[in-house]
Amino acid sequence: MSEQEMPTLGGEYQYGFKDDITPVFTTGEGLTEDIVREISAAKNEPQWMLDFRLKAYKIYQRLSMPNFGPDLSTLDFEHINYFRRDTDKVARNWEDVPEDIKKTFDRLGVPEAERKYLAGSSAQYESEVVYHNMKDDFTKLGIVFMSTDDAVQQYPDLVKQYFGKLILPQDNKMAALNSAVWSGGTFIYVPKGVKTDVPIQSYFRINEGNSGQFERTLIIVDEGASVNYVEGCTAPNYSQDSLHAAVVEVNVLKDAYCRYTTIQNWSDNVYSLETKRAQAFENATMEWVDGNLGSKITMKYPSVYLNGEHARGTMLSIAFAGAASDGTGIDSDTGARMIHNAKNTSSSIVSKSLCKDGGQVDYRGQVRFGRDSDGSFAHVECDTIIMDDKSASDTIPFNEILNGNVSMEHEAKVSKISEEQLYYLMSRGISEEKATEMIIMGFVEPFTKELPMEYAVELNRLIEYQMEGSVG
Amino acid sequence: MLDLKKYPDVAAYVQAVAEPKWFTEKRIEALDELKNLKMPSFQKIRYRNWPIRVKKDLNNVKSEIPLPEDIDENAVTMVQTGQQTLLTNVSEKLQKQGVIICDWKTALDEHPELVKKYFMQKAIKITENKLTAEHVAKLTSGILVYIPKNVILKDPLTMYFIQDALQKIDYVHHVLLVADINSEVSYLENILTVGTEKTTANIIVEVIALEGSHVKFASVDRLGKNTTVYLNRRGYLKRDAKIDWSLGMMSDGNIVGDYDSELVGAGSHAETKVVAISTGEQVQGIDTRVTNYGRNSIGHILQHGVILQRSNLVFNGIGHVEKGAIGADAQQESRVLMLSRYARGDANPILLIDDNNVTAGHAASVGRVDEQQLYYLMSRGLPKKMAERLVIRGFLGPVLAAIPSRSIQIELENMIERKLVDGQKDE
Amino acid sequence: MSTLEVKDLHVSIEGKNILKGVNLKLATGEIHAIMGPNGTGKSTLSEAIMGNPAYKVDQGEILLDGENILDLPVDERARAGLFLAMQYPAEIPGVTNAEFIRGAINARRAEDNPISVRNFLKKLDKTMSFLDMTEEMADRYLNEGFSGGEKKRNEILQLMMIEPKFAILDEIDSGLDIDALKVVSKGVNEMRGQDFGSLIITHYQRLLNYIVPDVVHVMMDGRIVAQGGPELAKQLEDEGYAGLRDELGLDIKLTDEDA
Repeated sequence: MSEQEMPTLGGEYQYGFKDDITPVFTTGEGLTEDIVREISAAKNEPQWMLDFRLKAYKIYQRLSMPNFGPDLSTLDFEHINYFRRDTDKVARNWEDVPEDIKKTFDRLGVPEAERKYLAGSSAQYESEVVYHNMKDDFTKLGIVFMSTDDAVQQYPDLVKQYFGKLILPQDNKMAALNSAVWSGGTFIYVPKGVKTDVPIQSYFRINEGNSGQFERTLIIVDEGASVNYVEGCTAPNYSQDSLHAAVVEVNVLKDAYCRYTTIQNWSDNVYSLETKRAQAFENATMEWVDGNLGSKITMKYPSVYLNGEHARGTMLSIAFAGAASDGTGIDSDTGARMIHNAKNTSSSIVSKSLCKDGGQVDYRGQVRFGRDSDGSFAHVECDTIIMDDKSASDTIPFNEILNGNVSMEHEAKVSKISEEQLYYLMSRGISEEKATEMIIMGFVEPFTKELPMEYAVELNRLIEYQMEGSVG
Repeated sequence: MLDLKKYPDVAAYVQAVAEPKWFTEKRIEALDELKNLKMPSFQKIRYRNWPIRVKKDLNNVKSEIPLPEDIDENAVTMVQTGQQTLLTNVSEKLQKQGVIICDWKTALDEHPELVKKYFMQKAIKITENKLTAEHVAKLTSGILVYIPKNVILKDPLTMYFIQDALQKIDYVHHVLLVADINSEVSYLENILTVGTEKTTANIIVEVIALEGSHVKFASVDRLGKNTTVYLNRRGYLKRDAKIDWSLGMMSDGNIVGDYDSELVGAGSHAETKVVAISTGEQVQGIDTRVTNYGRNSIGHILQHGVILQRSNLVFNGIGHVEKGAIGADAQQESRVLMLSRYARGDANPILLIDDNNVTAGHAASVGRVDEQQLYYLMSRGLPKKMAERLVIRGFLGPVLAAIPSRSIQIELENMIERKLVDGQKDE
Repeated sequence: MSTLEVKDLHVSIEGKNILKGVNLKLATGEIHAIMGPNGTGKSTLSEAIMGNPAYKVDQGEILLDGENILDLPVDERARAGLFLAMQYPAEIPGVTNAEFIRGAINARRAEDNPISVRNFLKKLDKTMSFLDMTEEMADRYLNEGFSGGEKKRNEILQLMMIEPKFAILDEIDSGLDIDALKVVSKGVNEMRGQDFGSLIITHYQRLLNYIVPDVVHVMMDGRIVAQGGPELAKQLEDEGYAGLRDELGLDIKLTDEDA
């Protein structure tokens, strides 16, 4: 762990800068049926999508907020700006992105990352994708990578077949809201048998306060194909809260493989209320790798519906909740759901959580073995470290078993930093601060080792930043 | 002056049994509050459409059930059938030590100070929910057990509580066990049903373990198929007190088991072991909670369940460490064996941790009978089904071994055997 | 020359008095052994010198080069030159052995002058091969899943990499077979020299055949009851602790003595 690998950071959220951008088009604050129509019209959408939005809007009005988890009463839906377009066209190279926005992504290191180690990259700024590009090698393989808005125009059949099928608008209020006002997000189609290990990345940025970002991501990995998708998120610090309510649907067809990695690092004025769901068909593998470091409140429980024999689903997650800049604690309520609907399916959930300075980290999960899940297996492991007496953690897993021929193992531990480990490291001359950091890094290592190298370094940096001043 | 006009059934009942006024006041308080209270809520236990509310009027009813033949009169402490007490066996020695074991009526008449101090005051509040209030309003049977300071009882106290389902009457029963400072007691209760009428049982057990006391509490529940049960057992533990719960849930009907230990005192310790067999089409919802308030308090939960036929078993295990419970330990383990493809089992181990200086953990598993063990037994020539039953008996061992009476252990083993044989037929 | 001096040390754990006035002085260039029956406070002495927060010093002083170090936290004592090879080293998943040792070395150096990766690896490879350790031990997580012998070897590896002034070896021989014992001894003998002192805590004389001490102290019931040269260890081997106790006329019950 050299000084080069782990530089020391200043004590501030380093992505908290903002830009002054005048939108080209916005629907202003609040939401009505007319605004839903306006959004659809601004995108020049086909009638079926408008119908879908309008139906979802009605469902949104009918549903109530979740009756579990963090307190969402402070979220002010009236003053959110539901749609904001900052540029007229999606650029294919960074030179064409408006200068101010490009500067933002430069500071976030997005173009550099793309040059170095990505197969393709896209960037969403507020409501819409401002940039996307894929290297020629991958385009030639027939991989489709574009904004979901573009996909509605260019691949209407595929979109119609899969869009809104895994997550119905009535699933929950935030899914309904997203279905009504969605904009942007990523569409990926990997043709049969096409395999790529090189990651494709999307970067999501909220710039204005009171913003709503409702991206909609749809991934289809065709039979025998594979894809490795990474998303990152940041936002400036504002006194007004922003809402990020994404919907992500992933379809992993027979023998296919998908890994979906998220590094969520929203500033602590963002409510991140996401619905993410995948289905894995026969012998397919779906892997969620999910890091939650930011946000004021996060509610997210990605799921895998194991719908074909021998399908596999995994979730590997870390969550870190510390103090928010307004003096309260960050509340991270995350987890996973594994739904075994076919024979000989397997799933694994490994969740690592940390909290300090009044933060609350909760694990909330579900493993369900349906009637036809003979021979299936599930493994769940939740580990939490509560670093001080101001912080708290709940672990709430539900395990539902409707088949006699399955097996499930579930384990969880909650503790403070081990004094024995601390003493041992310090007895070798390592300071308490450094020793604490080492133990924490070791604790999340099962997660970081699964990240692409550049992300692992980034994540270690973020954790180190979060850990600052945690001793003494 | 008590105004009983609103509740004529209460008026008639208290007159018939000559109930002390102070207790009738509690009934009225409960009845008046009832409409403002909520039903208790448990994760994943859906019981709202069951006939679990005690709807019938308060009524003084005689029971015709005789003393069951298999009960050894000399070996039991008390036998109650319905609202009656058939037999009380309290030795002179116990009486001299100041031990009190009496039925509810006697408790109200002769030990009002104990009842007033502890009944629904410490462990459970009358107005905690609709079912606790209903319990107080409709209470018609029960016992009081009091172990004085420093008294150590070697022999277990054995109780039989027989629900009368020959008649269409609800069964509302209360156990109040107070273990005074540094006392020790081993207590075993058998709750069973005679008759097959569709009835409701609302049973609350309060164990008050004062400083340094140790209570070994064992139970064998065998309530009937047509009895819908709310069974609330709760311990309240002061400094350095310990309760060992060993709860065998062998009832045949739908049941909500609400088990809780409140670790109020520093160094208090609760070990809760629950085993359950679910058969037929029954639903058993078991919500076992331990709440650590005291420093260095220890709360352990172990739940083992076997699910057969078309039944449904829900195990919630909740370890709750309150802020300030420094050095607390909360551990739990729930294991479920699924022996039928038509059954359903839920194992929900929940940790709610509000302090950091704690050790907390849980484990849960669901699976079939251990293949290795099965193979080993079968390699010795046992037929598969018999081997399976032996493995399961081992799985239920933690509670079986804690039953303080050999004859009841054997009875329980036979009962498990019967249930397993029946269940295996449907496989 | 450096000195480590323990003066009239009284230590308790959870209110129970374990050390009842220990006096000891050791200088670099010397190797001392502390022998004694089980439960007499040998490990307590080593943990108290290192600064384990679970052990409470009620009275006395611990001086390193004449400075009282009792107020120093464990990491500062380590950087001041103390090292304790522990009887039960902690396991730390996720942190590799190599990065941990490098961290420990760099903690002793100026922040802008860390040991270069090349020099570090060179020294690590050399030391590991000296201790017959396989290369993969460097990349395994710190003590996680190590066998008893691997853990002890790893303690000696750290000792040789960190090069402290004083090393306390707490029952480094327990649970070791003869080959492992030889390797561990080889490591300590390699360190032997004018800039290194060691306090070897052991129940058995066997280890002292391989690391010959300059001074042997015998501890019973929280005190040092006898001192001598290597021959004292031999005498113990022959007569046992009970024999020595009776010779000294002490009224002490030994825990591993049959009742």
